[in-house]
Amino acid sequence: MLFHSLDFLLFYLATAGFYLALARTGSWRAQKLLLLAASLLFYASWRAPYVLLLAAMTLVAYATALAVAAARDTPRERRYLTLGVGASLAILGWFKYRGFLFANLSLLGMRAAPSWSQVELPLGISFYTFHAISYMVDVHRGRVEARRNFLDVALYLAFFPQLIAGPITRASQFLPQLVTPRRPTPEMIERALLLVVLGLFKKVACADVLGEYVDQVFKSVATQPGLNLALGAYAYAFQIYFDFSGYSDMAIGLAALLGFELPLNFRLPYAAENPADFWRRWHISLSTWLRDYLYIPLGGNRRGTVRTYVNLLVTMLLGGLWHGPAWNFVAWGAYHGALLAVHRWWSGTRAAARTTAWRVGLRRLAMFHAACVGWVLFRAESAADIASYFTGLVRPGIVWSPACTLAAWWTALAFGIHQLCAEEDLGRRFLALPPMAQAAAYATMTTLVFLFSPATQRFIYFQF
Amino acid sequence: MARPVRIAAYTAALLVSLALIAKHRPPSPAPGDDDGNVTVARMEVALTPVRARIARDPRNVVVVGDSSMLSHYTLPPDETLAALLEHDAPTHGLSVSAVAFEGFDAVAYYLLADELAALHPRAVVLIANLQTFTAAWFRRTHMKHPQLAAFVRPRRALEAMLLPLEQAGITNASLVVLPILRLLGASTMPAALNGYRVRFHDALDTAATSVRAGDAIADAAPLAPGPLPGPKRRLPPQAGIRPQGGESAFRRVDLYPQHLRRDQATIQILAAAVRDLRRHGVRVVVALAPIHLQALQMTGALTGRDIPGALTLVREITRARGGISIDLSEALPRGTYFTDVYTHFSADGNRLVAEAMLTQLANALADDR
Repeated sequence: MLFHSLDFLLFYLATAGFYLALARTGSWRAQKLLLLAASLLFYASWRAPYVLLLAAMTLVAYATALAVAAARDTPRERRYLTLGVGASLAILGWFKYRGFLFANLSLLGMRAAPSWSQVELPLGISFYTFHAISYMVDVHRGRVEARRNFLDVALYLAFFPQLIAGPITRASQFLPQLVTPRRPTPEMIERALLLVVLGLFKKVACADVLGEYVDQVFKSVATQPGLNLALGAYAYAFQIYFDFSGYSDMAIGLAALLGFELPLNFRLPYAAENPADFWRRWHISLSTWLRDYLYIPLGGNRRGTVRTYVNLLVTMLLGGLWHGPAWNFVAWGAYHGALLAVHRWWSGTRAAARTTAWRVGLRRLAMFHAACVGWVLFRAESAADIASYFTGLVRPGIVWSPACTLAAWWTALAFGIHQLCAEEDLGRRFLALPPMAQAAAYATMTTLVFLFSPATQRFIYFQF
Repeated sequence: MARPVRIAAYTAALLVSLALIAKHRPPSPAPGDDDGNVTVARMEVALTPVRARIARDPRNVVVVGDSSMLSHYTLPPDETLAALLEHDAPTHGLSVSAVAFEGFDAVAYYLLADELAALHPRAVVLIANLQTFTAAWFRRTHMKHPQLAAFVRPRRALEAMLLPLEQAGITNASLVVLPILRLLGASTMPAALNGYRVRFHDALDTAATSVRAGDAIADAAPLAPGPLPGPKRRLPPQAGIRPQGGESAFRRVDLYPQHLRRDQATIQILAAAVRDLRRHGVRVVVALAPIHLQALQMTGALTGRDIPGALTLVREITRARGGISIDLSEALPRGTYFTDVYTHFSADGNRLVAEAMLTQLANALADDR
C-alpha cells in the first residue's frame, strides 16, 4: 500500500475513523491497540511473514531496554546493550547485507550456497532497526525510561506513517507521546492537510515526471550527449528530493492528523551553502541519528583533527552503506565524508568567514553541484556507468525528447521554487489564507496529481 | 464549523464538482470504447439479452469464455464458437447463451460471479484455458478488465481482498469504490476521468515535442526504441527450452504452465469463482479448453511441462468446490484446427469443439433434465 494509492486512502480513512470513534470511549489503550493492529496490517500488505521479523526486532528492543534498566550502573548494563544492539544489527545484516557479502566473497573465490545469497529485502528494515537501536541506547543514556508496556514499544517501532521510510523518530521523541491521549489541534490538522497534499503533489506531479527522463538517461549513460547527462543529474537531484521529501511530508501529515508529531526531515537542502549545512537540511532525521549514535560515540571532534576527519569519513561511509548493499552507496557515503572533512578544514580559513550575498549564492550553486556529483554515484548502476557518466559530460550536443523537455522545465521550475522558498516561509503564509483559497489550491493540486498519475514508480527510499 | 473541517469540505466539494463535470462531459471518443476494453456498460449490454432469454427459458445454460469463442481473423460471425454453441445446442437438448470477451479468464469469472448467479441460469460454464494458469498471464493487467470489480457485491469484497487479485491489477480500493459508483449510477466516471488523464498526457507530450526556446531547442527526436507496449509485448521464452519451430511460434505456447500448483493465483481465483457460484446454488461446469499440443511439440515446449498434472489439478479443484468438470483438452487432434499458437480455433476446430462441448455438457447436466 503506497501512500499515494487509493488503497491507502481507504485504509487510512478506516483507521482514522475507528481511532476517532475509540477516542469517544476514552480508552487510550484501545486507540493504541488499534494503531498497532493497523500498522501490522499495513506492513503485512507487502509481505505478511515479515511481520514476524518486525516482531522479533521489537522483542529484542523491549527485552534489552528492560535488562539495561534493571542492570543500571553495573558492568552488565553495557553488556546487555551491546548484545541488544548487536542482535538488531545482526538481523539487519542477515536480511539486508547477506547477498552483498556473499557476492563479494565469491569474487575472492569463496563460495556460499546460492540460497544464502538470494535476499528479498524486508521493507523498512533499515528504519525500524534504527528505531530499535534508538530506544535501547536512549534507555541506556537515561533519556527515556524502559517501558514495561510492550504495546508502547511495539507501536513505536511499527507506527505505520513512519514504518517504511521514516522519518527516523527518536524513542525520546515518540514514546512520551504515548503516555496521554493525543488530540490534534485545529492548527495541527491544517498544517497536516497542507503536508499531505503537498507531499502527494511532490511525489506524483514532480518526482515521477522527472523520473521518466532520469530512467532514460541512466539506462544509456554511454550514448547520451553531455548536456543530457548533466540534465539527468539535475533532474535526479530533484526527483529524489521530491520523492523522499514528499513521502516524509505525507508521513508527518498523516501522523499529525492522528495527533502525533514526527520530526522534520527536509529543510530546503539545495539552499545549503556547504556540506555540513547540506546534512543539516537533507534527511535530517538520519543525519542527526548518525551524529548522535555513531559520530559522537566514535569520539566526534573531541580527539584531534585527524581523528575528526576519520570519524566523519567512517560515519558517512556507514551512512552510505545503510542506504543499500552496493558499492555505489559506499562510494556516495565516502564522497560525502570527504566533502565534510574538506569543509571542516576550509571552515577554519579566512575565506569561509566572508559572507556577502554573491558569495552565498555562489556557495549554494557550488554545493548544489557537489550534491549532484554525489547523486550520480548514488543513482548509477555500476562503476562503469559512473566512469562513463563523468567522461561523457564533455560529449557535445543535446538530444531533445518530450521527456527531456519536460524534465528541463520541471528542473528549472523546481530550482526556482526551491531558492524562493529558502528566503520566505511560504508554508506559514499559505496557512494564513482564507479556507476557500486553501481549498482551491488543494483541489488544483489534487487534480494535477490525478492528471499526472499513474504513478507507477515506488518511493525511492523504500529500497533502503 | 472549525476551520480545518471547512477547508476539507470545500476541497471535497470542488473535487466532486470537477468529477461530475468530467462525467457529464467526457472527452470524445469516450475512452474504453475500444473492443478490447470491457466497461461496466458493455458488460451490462452483453448480459441484458441473456437475462431476457433466461426469463423466457429458465433452462438456459450460460457459457462464459474468452477470445477463443469470438471471431478471429477470417472467421465469419456465424462460425464462431459462441455462435455455434448457441445454434447447435437444441440438437443436444440444451439451450445456450454465450458471453465472451477477449482476455476473460478466472479473474473475470470471479468478479462476475454475483452477476452470473443473479441471472439464475440452469448452469454456468466457465472456459478454462490452460494458458491462463501461469504467473506471466496472470500479471498481464492490460487483459484483466479491472472495471468488472464494479460487479462484486459488498459481502464478497473482504474475501476478494484476501485473494491475489492485486497482481492482476484489481486493487482493493477498486473492489470498494467501483461497486459504490455502480450503485450510484456513476460507473462511467472512472473511464471519463481517465480519458481526461490520457488527454493531459497527450497534451504534455505534444507541448514538449513542439516547444521552442530560441534556436537551442530543436524538434524533439524520437524516443529510443524499447519494448512494444500493450498486448503485443513479447514475453521472454522460458529458460532452458529452445524453440524448434521458429521464434514466432514460441510466443504464447510458453504460457502453458510447467508444473501447476494449488497456490498458483489463477487456480486460487478459479476455485473461489466456483465456490461463490455454488454458494448461490448455481451449477458450475468448468470446461478445460483444447490444448495446442502440436505447437507445444513443434516448439519443444512440451518438454518438461506436466500438462496432464495441470489438467488433473483444475479438475480436482473444480470438483472440490462442488463444480463439474468437462475435458476438451484433446478435442482437436490436428494443428490445422488452430489458427495460431493461442487457443484460437479454425472454423473446423470450432465445429469440433462445439460438438464435443455440447455432448459432454448434455451428459453432465443430464441428471436434472
